[in-house]
Amino acid sequence: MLLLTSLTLTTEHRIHSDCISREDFENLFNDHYSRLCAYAYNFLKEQEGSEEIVQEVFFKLWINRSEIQINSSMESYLYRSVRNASLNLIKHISIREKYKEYNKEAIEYDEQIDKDPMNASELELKIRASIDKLPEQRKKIFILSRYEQLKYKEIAEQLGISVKTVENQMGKALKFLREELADYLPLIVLFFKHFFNGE
Amino acid sequence: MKSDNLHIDDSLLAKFLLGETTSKERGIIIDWLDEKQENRDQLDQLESVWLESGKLKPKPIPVNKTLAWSILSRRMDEHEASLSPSSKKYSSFKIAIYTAVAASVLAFIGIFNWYSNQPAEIEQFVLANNSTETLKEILPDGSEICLNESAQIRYETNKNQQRIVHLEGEAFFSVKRDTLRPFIVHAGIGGVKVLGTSFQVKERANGDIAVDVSSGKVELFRTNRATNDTLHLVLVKDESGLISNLQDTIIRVSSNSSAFFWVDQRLSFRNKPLKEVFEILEVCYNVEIISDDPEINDKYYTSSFIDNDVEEVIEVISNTYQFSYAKENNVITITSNDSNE
Repeated sequence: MLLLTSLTLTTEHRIHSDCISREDFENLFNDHYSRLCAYAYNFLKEQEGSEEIVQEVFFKLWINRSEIQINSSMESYLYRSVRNASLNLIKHISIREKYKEYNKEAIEYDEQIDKDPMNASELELKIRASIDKLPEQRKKIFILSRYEQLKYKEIAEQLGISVKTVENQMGKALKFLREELADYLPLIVLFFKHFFNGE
Repeated sequence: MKSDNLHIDDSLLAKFLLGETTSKERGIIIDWLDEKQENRDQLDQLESVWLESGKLKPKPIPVNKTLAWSILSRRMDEHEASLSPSSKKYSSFKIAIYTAVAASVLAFIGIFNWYSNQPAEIEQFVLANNSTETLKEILPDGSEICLNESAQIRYETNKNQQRIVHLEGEAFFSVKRDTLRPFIVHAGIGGVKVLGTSFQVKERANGDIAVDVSSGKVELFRTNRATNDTLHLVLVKDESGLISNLQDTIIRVSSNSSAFFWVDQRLSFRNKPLKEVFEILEVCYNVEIISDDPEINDKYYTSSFIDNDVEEVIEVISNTYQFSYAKENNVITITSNDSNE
């Protein structure tokens, strides 16, 4: 219910033949790159491959920009292309066995969110953009902690750094996100307070 | 008598939220929360950030957008350049303008095979840092480079598809892994060969070439003047080597904790007495550290830091060994805790 208005400016680009400028294209790339990579990652479970696929989709879009006819929104075009490319890669990959399980999981997942993978709230986009802004190492640490649910000790081992550094970097990451999301926080906090008091 | 000398900050609160605190720390935080409403609000905010960020689907992965765009836009340039002769002229013209604009600060010439009929056979890239700040750039293959003051490089790929850099001065490389195309840095009398890793190379005034490895594995090489053989030395993470001008050999040297400080304020202490740690911090951060207690100075310390200020570093160390510190301007005084109780 909170902040569900989507950012119409960035989500409603439409390409009219070849009139997209390089600058617009760069903006389009910046707005969607990390989210599309995350989307591809769900199918491939492999970061480098996911990034390659997304770059390939953007590259093809650029070189064929005068021929491609996009009837839906730009965003759904990008998501569809990334999904198709990912699934094609899974199909064609020689080590098919390795991916079979993922594939099954990926398709199930796909059905869940495919209806509208790009329908993100303003808050969600803001959180993603803020995570994107973290320095490389800090971003890695935050993602390992938040999304891989690793303990500080496990993160330290995986990245070859000390637990103190992880602690420090996590503190900085959360502090940064707290500051970046300052405008949204009163609403969220209010919501949680209400929720907890209501119990 | 204010609560405790343990400073409550976002790191500690984050630890608390993630259940990483010790029971002592937990007790301190719970007392702190009871102190006043603002404290509870601060924790509430962090908790909300944590909970909200967890709802993202699909979950984020750590991509480097800037690097990705530079790779993509280079492909776009190459594609454009291969289309028609007129567009070739255009791109060289554009590069000339960039060069003119940038010339006052740094000389920067990119030549992406617009003179060649066979695309992607030879690339050249020249970068010089004439400013006093560290210059960060991305090479055409996606590797990242930091050039220290008055350093310069010439990057090219040759017929054998090797990536070759000629370096003068000091540079830090974070090499994009590509097993088919080794990355070779030539500097003065020798060089370094890698597949994908990060390391730095420094050409000293006396002709020595110093190499420090930050991650992965590299191979140092040089020609032995007497026998004309090529000498090799493999270094791994946190090791350093010296291609000596005087001695006609390659030497393994003990690693320098602050070797990468100029790149991203990175410090890496391995079993160093705190006395030495303090000396390194003094030089890096331009502060004075007063520590007279031999009990503290003789302790051995291992940890690494990236992008922290001096107070944060001191605080982490003081928490580890339970001593106190006071900072006044650029002077930090360290005292053991027993003496004030």
